[in-house]
Amino acid sequence: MALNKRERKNTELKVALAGNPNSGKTTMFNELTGSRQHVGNWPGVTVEKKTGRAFYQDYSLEVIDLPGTYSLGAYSEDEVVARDFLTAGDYDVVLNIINSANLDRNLYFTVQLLEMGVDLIAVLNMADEAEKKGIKIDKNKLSQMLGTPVVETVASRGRGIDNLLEQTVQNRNLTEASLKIDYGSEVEDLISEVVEMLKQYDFSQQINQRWAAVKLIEHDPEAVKLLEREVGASKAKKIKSLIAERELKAEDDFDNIIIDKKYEFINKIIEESVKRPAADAELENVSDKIDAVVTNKYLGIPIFMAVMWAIFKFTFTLGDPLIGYIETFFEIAGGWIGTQLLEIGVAPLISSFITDGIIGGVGSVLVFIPNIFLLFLAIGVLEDSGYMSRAAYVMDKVMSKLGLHGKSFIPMIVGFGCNVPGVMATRTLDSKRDRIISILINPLMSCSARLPVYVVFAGALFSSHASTVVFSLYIMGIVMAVIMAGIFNKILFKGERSHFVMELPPYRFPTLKGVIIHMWEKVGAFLKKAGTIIFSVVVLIWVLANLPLGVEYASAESFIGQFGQLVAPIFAPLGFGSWQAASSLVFGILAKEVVVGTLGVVYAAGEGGLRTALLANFTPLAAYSFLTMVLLYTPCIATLGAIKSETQSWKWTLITASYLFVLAWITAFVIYQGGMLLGIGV
Amino acid sequence: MEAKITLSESMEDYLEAIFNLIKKNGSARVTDIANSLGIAASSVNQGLKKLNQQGLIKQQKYGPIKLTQSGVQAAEKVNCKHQILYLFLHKTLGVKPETADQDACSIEHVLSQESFEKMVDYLIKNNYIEEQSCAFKFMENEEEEKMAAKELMLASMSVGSKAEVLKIESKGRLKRKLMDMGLNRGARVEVKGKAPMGDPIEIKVRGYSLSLRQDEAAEILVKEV
Repeated sequence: MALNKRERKNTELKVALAGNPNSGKTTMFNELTGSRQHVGNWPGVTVEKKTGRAFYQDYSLEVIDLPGTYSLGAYSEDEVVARDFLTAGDYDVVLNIINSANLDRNLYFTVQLLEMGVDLIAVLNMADEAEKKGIKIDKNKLSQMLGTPVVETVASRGRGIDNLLEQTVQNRNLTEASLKIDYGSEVEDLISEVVEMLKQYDFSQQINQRWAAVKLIEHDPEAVKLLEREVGASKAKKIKSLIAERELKAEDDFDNIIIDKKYEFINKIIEESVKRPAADAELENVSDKIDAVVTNKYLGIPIFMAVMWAIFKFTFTLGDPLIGYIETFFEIAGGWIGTQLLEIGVAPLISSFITDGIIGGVGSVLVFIPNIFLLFLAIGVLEDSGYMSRAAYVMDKVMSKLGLHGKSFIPMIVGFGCNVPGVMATRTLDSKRDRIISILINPLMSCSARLPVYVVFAGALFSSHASTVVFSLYIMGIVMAVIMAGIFNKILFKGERSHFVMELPPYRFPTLKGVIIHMWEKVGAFLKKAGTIIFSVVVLIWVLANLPLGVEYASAESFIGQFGQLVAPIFAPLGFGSWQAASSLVFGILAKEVVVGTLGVVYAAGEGGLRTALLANFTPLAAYSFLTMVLLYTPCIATLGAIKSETQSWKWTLITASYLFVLAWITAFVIYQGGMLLGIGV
Repeated sequence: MEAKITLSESMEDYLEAIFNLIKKNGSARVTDIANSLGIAASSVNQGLKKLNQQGLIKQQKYGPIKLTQSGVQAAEKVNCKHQILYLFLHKTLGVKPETADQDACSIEHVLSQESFEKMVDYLIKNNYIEEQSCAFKFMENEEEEKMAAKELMLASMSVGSKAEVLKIESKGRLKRKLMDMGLNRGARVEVKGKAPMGDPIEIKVRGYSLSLRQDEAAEILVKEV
């Protein structure tokens, strides 16, 4: 179609990669562009946009990795993005990546693209897997039947890449006529009538009209919207009623007929261009054998548990020492810079801003980097190996009982480590409903930053039952998550049905390159966040802790301290109405472990002294109520930042921040007042 | 229905006699059969031997005679044809009851399925027989019955069985999603397994593995192959 193509130099090409998930599209993208990648978002949506650059001879290629989709049905955000990009036509050529070992379904997408008039090169990727399965593809025949060039590659081994680039460059001005499938006289007659009407109504010439007609006949909601935009509601209605009228007389629903005919066409292509081993010879492959164990009735869940435990262990036992180093680094760096600044005569206030504010604040966020690194490394391996979808498969029944989706467990497990990657991990969920609910309940997973608070209080006030108290808080978080998921499911997304129609891709060995690139993307996203939103809030809080001028940092007279005094009465019914407790909770929004540090500062006590201070200021009941608050209340800035960037909405961010506060207050209230009535721990 | 067994006229008489005796007395003995058919006990014994060979009756030595499941079915069918013939002759043609009964006895053995069904249709139309009539059990066209037995929802297929998709009964987005994933009419599927709690299920379609929940699979009509 190649319309509204920008003016580009003859040696500059814009190339898009399109294809089914699990076709090796990302591997191809990495192979073509190497490290010359840029990850951003498509405008207005949360779908990732990856662009990169490839060079071949004198040519410079801008490569765009479109989201993996099975069809142009445009149901998920991913599909809409891919479809909008392809219809807009701002590219020279599309490389349609096809999994050669699974031609039927992959060609279904190819055929849709060709019908739409997209100029594409069909890339038969994973040619080695097809060979192993004994599938022989006659490239010339396939090319002739599809009416477009065909290239064979094995992206994971870099095979055929040069040839692909050569073909891309040679076919940069590809202008093949769009593919026409015969939908049978009944539908064909209607197509011509609709095309005639579209012409009459001055429907955009830039869109292939036959394609538009077919889409309208199969009741594609996006096509209907487009039609209404283009010709107005009343004319659109005429076309719609013509289609509806014909459909009543037709022997089957038009969408059934159209899809069946597409597959008929594909079957014909395959019959003529592909040789497969006899159906009976299709032996049970390795994937099936692994599946028999991994999704086994008795072994499935224990294996899942073991894998999750291993990830957790890997992330946090390996990550925690590294976190220690980073903390030490920031402490030393802060101290050193502080003395240097004083020596050169910088005002103490500015010096404090740099050391406490910037270095301390950003440092407290950056300490999570090792955990995030390792976690996404582990998740990358699981995803690329194909186990992730099995885990979702094994867990779906349990999760859907809770109003969630099989894939929701990943963010939940991750959340126990840190809610930031937990929220980020909800990206794997397709439906908005599942994703939002998973995000909303993620902060209820007690992250590792809350543990120091539990430990200090439990040690001071519950010495003999310390571990039971800590454990009970973790359980409380899970129970609340389950309850809240149920409630959100009922009130926010009533009646929306999610589904579990999901491909279980064959097991593969993850490639180091793929996993590393995957990890870098996630950590990069986190760093960017730490650099912007988190940084500004850190600065704001530092300023409030130092104003009005001349007060001691974070003292009762500072704005934060005053704010603490102001809000303290809110917490009085919960058993801890002191301004110290209130300010520590305010600071806790910076990062949950800061609660301990703040209490230390405001009670003006060292580590040992804090214990005494807590004993003097909290009854066991009030302490448990306080810990409940710490567990449940508003998540830290980093998590809120992640929620904002993942939902692209302040609304959901504010809802999360406020519902959690209310939930925490009510729960702590019930615990404290209930305990008072029963006379427990007073 | 069981494999077709062609029975001779006398065999059908024996079966009918045993069936009626069991209904009347709770058991059937050789002497009773001989009496009710008016023939010698020795010939009854020979007949019973044949019925035993065809798996229609069970008989312990000198004990009472019992009908097997297919025996009951065969007897019921004969019995039913008898009733329909009797009604047809008596009610519509006005044949005297005794003659009608005797003729029914002779015709029942040679009556074709087609004529039987036409008679039933006629009797129903003229309100001579009611819905619960035995006839309905033997009415369905046998070929149709075979088809119907094999048509089922994907959700009720057992692991390892193969089928061909006939229809997606889901609506809207789910239907499109299923069809986009290659589950359209004529697609061959194989149930590969079920998740530990029985839901979702894993199927193989168009050479790849796809998972779906039971309630999604319950909307896909298939034909076992």
